[in-house]
Amino acid sequence: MSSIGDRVLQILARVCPDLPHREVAERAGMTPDAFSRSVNDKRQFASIELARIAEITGTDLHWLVTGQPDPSRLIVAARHNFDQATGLRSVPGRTHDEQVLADIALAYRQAYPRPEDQPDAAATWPKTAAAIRGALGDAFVRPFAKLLEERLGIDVVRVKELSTAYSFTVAGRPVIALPATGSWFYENWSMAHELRHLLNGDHDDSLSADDAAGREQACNAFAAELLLPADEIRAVDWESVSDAELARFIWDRGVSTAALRHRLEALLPQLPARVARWADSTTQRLLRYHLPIDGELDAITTRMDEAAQRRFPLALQEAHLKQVEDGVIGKATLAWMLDVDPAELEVDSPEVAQADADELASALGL
Amino acid sequence: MTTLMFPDTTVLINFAHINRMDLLARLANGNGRWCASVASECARSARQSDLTALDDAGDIFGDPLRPDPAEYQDTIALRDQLAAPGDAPSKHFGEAETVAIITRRHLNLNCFFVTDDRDAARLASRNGIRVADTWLLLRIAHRRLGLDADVLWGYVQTLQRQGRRPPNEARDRSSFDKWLSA
Repeated sequence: MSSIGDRVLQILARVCPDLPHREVAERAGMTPDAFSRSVNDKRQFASIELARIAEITGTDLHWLVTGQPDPSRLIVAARHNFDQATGLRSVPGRTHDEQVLADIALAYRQAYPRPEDQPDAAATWPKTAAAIRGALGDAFVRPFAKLLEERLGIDVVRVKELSTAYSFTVAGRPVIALPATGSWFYENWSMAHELRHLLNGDHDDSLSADDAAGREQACNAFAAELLLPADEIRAVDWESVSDAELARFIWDRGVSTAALRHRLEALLPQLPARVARWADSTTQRLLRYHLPIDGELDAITTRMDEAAQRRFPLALQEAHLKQVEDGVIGKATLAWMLDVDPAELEVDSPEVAQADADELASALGL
Repeated sequence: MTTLMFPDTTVLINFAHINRMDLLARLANGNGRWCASVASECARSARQSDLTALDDAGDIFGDPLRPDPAEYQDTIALRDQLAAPGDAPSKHFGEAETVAIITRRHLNLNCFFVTDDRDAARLASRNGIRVADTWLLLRIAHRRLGLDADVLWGYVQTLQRQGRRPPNEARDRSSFDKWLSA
C-alpha cells in the first residue's frame, strides 16, 4: 500500500515532472530537507503542507491523504456554448466558475454534513420529457425552479457569478446552478437541459469529447421536447399565426424566439416566414410589441427581475440557520448566500465563554 | 498536565506586534504547544518585516504535534465547519488540525485553546475544549506576573492600531482598569 509520501511523488511526477522539488517545497512552505524527509516517510506532513501540494498539483487532498477518490468530489455537467459556424462546444468561463461551484458545494456540505441522511430523490424521477411534464403540471415554466424543488427534489441555485448552467450532486442533493442573467427563457432552457443531465446521470469527468458532445445534443433534444413538445408544435397552423399569437406562444412556453426557430426547423419542412422574421429579433422585442399585458405590474419586467435574483433554496438556508444556531458552523456562508455583510447578519448562535483567568493561571502554574 | 494550544497565529501575531514574545513564553510557562500546520503558518508570517519576532515561537512551543492518518481525515472534515466562500484552499488548516489532534488524543480536559478567531473558538468550544484569547492572557499577565496596568494599556493601544478589538468592557482607560482587576 502506498504512503502519503509515495502519492505526493506520484502526482508530482505525473502533473509537473519538470518542477524541481526544491520549488515544490518552497511553495508548500517547507524546507527542502523537510520535504525530502516527508516524502520518504521520515517526517509527517502538516495538513496545510498537503493542502498546498494539492493546490500546486490540482489534485484532491482526500486522495493524497487516503489514496481513495474524495467521495464528496464535485463532478459537474455544464451547459456548453455551441458555435454554429464551427460545430464546436465549449465552456469558456469554466475556470472562473470553479471557485463559485466550490463555494456552492461548501454551502451544501455545511448544511448537510451527512449525505446518507438525504432522501434518494433520483429514485422517484420520471425518465421521459412527457412524464416530467406530467409530474411538474401544466404551465410549469412559470415557477419552474420551485416545482423542480417541490416535485422532483432538485435544488435550483441562481448566482450572477456563473457564466453558464451546471448540474451536480453534492452532499446527497441534486442541484442545478444557473447564472443570473435576467433572461427567463435562457434559464428555462438551462433548467430543462440540466434536468436531463441529472436524469441520465451524466456526471462523469472521464468522458471523451465525442461522448460529451453527444450528451449535450441529447440534453438539448430533451429540453426541446420538454418545453416545446413535438405534438403541440405540429398542431399549430404556423402560416396563419399572428404576431400576437406568436408572442403568446413563446410567453406561455417560456422560450426565446431563437429556440422556437431551431425547434421548428427540426420539426417542419419549412420555417414559417413570421417565425423566421422574429427569430432575427430579440425575444423581448416581440413580447413588448405584441404581448397583451394585463394589470398594473409589467409581467415581462417581473419575469426578468425574477430571473436576475440571487437564489438559494429556502431549505438550504434553513439548514444553515440550524447549523449556526447549534454552533456547528459560522454565519459567513449564509451571509454569502443572502449577499449581505456577515457582520450585519444577526442570527442566533451560542455564546463562547472564555476560560476563567484564575483557573487558567493556576493550571499553568503561575 | 495542562496544555496551552495555539491553533492559529492570531494571538502569536499580537505578542509579536507588542514585541513581547518573552511575555508569551512566561505565560505559557512550559505548557505551550502547537501543531504542525500552525508552525508552518507562523514560519511564513515571520518573513514579514514587522513580524520577525515570531521566529521565537519555536522556542516557546517546541516540536509541533503532527497528525496521523485518521487526524488528517478529521482535519479535512473539521475545516468545512470553518470555511467560508472565497477562502483560500489552504485556510483554516491550523485550527482544524489542532481540534482534530486534541479530540483524537483525548486532550480536551487539560487543554486551553488560545485564539482570537471567533469561529475557531466556536469550533473548539463545541468540541468540549476551553478557550482563551489575547486579552485573557494579558489579564493574567497583570494579575499573576505583575505587569503594570499602564504598560498593558499601551499594549492595548498598539493592538487597536493593528485593527484588534479589545473586550467591550475595556474600551477606555477607566473601564480597562476595572476590567483588569475584575
